[in-house]
Amino acid sequence: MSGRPSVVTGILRIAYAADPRATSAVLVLACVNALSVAASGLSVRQLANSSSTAALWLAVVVGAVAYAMIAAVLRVQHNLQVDLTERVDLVLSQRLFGLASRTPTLEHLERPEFLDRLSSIRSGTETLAGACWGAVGAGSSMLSLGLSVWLLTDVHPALALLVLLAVPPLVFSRRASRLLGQARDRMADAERREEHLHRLGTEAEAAKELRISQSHRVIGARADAYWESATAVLVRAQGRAALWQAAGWGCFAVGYVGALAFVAHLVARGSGTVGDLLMVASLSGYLRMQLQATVTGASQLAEGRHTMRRLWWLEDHAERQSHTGTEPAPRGLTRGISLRGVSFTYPGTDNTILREIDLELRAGSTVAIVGVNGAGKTTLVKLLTGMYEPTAGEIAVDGVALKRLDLDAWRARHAIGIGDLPRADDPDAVARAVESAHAQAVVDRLPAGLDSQLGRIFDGAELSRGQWQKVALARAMMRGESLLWILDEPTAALDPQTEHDLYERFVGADSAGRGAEGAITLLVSHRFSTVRMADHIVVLSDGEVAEEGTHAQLMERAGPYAELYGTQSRAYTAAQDS
Amino acid sequence: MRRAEVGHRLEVLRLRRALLALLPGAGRGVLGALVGAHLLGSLAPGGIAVATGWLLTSALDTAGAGGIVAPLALVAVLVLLGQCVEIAREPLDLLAVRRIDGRLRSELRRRVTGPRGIAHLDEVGYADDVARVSEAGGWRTRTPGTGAVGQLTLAGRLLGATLSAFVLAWYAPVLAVGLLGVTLLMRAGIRRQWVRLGGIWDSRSGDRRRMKYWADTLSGPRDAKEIRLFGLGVWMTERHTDHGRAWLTEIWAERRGILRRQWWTFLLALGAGLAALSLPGAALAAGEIGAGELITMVLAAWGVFTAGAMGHEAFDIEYAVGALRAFERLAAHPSAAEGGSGGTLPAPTAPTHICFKGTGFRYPGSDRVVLDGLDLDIRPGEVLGIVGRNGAGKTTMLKLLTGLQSPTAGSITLDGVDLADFDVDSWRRRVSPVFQDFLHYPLTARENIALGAPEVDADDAAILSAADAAGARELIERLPDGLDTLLTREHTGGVDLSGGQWQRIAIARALFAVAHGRHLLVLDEPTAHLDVRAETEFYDRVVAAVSGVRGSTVVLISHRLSTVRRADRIVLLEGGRTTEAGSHSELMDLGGDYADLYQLQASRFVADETEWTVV
Repeated sequence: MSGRPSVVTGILRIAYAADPRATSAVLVLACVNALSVAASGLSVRQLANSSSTAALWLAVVVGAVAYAMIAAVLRVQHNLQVDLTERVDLVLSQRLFGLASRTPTLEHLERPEFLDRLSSIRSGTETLAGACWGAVGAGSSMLSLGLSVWLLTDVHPALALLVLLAVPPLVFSRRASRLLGQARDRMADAERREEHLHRLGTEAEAAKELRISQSHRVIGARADAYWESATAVLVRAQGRAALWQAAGWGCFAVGYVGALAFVAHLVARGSGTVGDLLMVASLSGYLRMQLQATVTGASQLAEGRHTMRRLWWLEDHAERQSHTGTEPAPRGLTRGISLRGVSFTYPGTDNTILREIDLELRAGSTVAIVGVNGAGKTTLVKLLTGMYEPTAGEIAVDGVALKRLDLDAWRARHAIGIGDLPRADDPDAVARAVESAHAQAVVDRLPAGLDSQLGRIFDGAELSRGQWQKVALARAMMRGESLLWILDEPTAALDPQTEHDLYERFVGADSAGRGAEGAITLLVSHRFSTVRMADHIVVLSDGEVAEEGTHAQLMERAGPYAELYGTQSRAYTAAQDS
Repeated sequence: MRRAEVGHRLEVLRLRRALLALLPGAGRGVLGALVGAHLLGSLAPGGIAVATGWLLTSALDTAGAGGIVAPLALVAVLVLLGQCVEIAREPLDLLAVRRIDGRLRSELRRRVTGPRGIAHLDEVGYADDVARVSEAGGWRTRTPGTGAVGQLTLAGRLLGATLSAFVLAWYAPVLAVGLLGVTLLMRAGIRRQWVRLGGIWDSRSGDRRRMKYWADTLSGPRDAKEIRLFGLGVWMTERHTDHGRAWLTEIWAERRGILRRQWWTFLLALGAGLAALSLPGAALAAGEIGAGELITMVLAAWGVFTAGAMGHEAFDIEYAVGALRAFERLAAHPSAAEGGSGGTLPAPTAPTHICFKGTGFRYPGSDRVVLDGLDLDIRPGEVLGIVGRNGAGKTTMLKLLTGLQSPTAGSITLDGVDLADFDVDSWRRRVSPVFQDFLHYPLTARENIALGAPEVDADDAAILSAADAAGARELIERLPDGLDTLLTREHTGGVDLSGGQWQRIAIARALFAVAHGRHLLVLDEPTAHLDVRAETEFYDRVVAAVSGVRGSTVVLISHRLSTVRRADRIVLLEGGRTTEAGSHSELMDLGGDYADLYQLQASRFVADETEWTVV
């Protein structure tokens, strides 16, 4: 944690970069406002004590200016703070999402406890952005508190004891806000569940199944229950917090009344003035406000620190995960990709997904991976694309360890779904991609063709599953120079004609459309009619290679592949049994 | 111009009243306690001014030191009272806000699911309004609840200011009226300035929703692989920032403008301060009043100022008004007038003959005809296969069949009676769907299955037997808490399932429903994520079991023709109408489009028939 700026300076720096004038203005106004409370106390004292008309008017003017400061300028300060908080929040969100999405691996997005941390950072950026104003507010009220006390000691040194009475409210309020914080943390999950169910009950996407099954009433009732349970806990905590606060402020009120009695006593004895009593009475009202501001500022700062620490954790994680490989990705493949003794266990679990996999993906070949649900196919794809590093063993591209390759460059040579954005403005490239994905019919139906906005949330056209899949395919077609084509069950929602054409292009004998020299097609599929055409077929079972070979070899072995193939084939070729 | 101004004033008043009308939702006890707290609290500032003045007068009255005990006690009581009331209000405020918002959220869900169909959800603006009502605000909670409670706080503050003004009026009536007037004027002015900010916030609800979409996409697991493989992180982060800037720039410009115009509040406050201090000061100097009166006047003036100042509540009210207006728009939406259940006839309890006759449909505001004179029979107890290209209108057909949309031409009948004449809820309780985008309820495995038929009390035996038939039994047994495992990673203690595993749960859900009297099973691409073995077993295990054993009707939509071919009848949908219909062998003999598509899929196996003898 060393070498990192404190929350306050870190955030102030961002705010200053976003708007130097507003940031400076806030700091100046904070000082001015700290002075105005003391000035107002001083003025009422002089008001009653002044002997000359000039002194009287001076007191009036100082008091009025101080009041106007408190009434109008404080609001300006607060609003500038809100303004800056929004600016800083945007910068912080940008940093957060940059970290979350540019970290090359997926652990932080797939491991539940990391995901929890991530979502707590997400909901905390605004508090973090405002944390430095908490510190500024606390500092300014401390200053003003000090000035007030200095004025009070001028009346009688014993009044300095009032500062001691500020301790119980401070301590008890800290305790109260901790109680509230704990309750909020405890209820965060219930609140998220309510939010989740409420969204499910009101969004368009879920409506058709919800309404047919009529589960919307159950969903609504569950949402109500979560809301109520969160309310009960939060209100109870707020109630207990109120007791602590009442105890704290009760002490303070007793002190205040004591001070009044003391000064009244001084006045009665003739050693105090009317102005003294007036000042004590008016300052005490403000003292409470200042104390409250100190408490709020301190707890805001503490909350911000909490989020900051988590952000640092994410930065460290991103740093650790960042790929240090620098070797350029090859332009073409000559040998291929080899896996040597690759094993993998998801971090934080003890469930081994892949066990000592040895595989050779030869350059220019089509490799199919088959296996039942949960055999480890998707995990294997994640390792090949560098989303995770194997826990043991090595993956090498043309003999160079994947670890040593520049990962971004390597990924620029895959194709799964999305095209290269810089080329999105090239109408010919887009037209070709649409054509080869059989997506023309989808485009034709759109109100403004290729320029149509898609997606309900953007007020655009909504597509069916199959139509989206065609769009995704067209996206993949944008990337011409791929070395590794990964087709992970790409036709689940496609109609037979589109499916057929797609496979012909990638897996068929004439797969010239693939682009780069020695490109490998990796096909993950349950469609054995396509799988059989691959040059090499790998059957995964429980994280191990059960068997591999060409279709003919595997059929001859009469192992699990032959059995699965036979089952699916018979479904087409067997005579109708009914 | 004048007229518009009056209209605007009336609208503001009406909305204020509408916010107040939410208050009883907090419950009578809570509301009573809050009102009481505000009444008591409003006594404090004026009372303290009087008591402190009394205290000083007694102190100066040299008659005896014992004279200050009574005024001191009064000050103590009032100070403590003021503080305790303010502290006690916090839990009460929170309870009231949560209760009001909770009721409103329930009511919103009822409104959204109230109409017979779901067409209203697709209208531009409807979802935005739903989001407006659901939104909890930014930094501070800003909901209709905080707005309604804010109205009470506002009333309490104004009462406190007025009582302080009364105290002041005892000595200087003109000053009292003037100060109260200036304070109220400042409030009104500031409110008018800030009202526009609330308006901008409200009008940019769509931008915030889109920001949330990008934020979810960037920091969630769903699209993480594609984002990385194509280096889209930077681009998407920019989109997020662009949406943020789009609406915040407007807010910032407006707010800076307001802040630059604050000099007038400064001048007003300065004037008020001058008057509040100079008049008593001068009176004291002239010997017209005593020191005790001076202190009462100054403190009472302060009471007018602080009690009349703007707190959070004023802004809470402005923000709440936007959500409230959105709620009113939803309540006034034409769909709200549409009866929830349609006709009154109870749906037949036995499998029925469903008939689409010349049924046409197009989405409102769209020229494209999705269904164009569709003629289709679904006979009781049969397995009907439906085949068609992406976008042929299969999902729309299902929406019409379940009354979620109404046909724009032609009709749909059940045993010869128009679907519109039936009580739609009772009809839906006869249907069990598995959509391609079936729901992933953020609930337990048990609930995920039982919610196929929420009308029955689910027992474990029935749930497990449905799971068994769907091939989900083994995966449930492997879950950490079995049926009680929460099936979402978004919440503490939950686990996520793979696509294939979720599909088994969805099928189990549908089978559970069929077992409880939902005799029309609709399967839309139900094997997309299943592996070979499960896919092959699917027909016997699910389709044949349901139609053969229970006599239920099955509609099976699939691109997997090896699955569809076993249906009793198959129809081919093309361009929103039926182009071919018959059994698999009839359609193969016909040699039309179906036969071509089938050949296309089968040929990929048949190519090596030399190696394989057909069994």
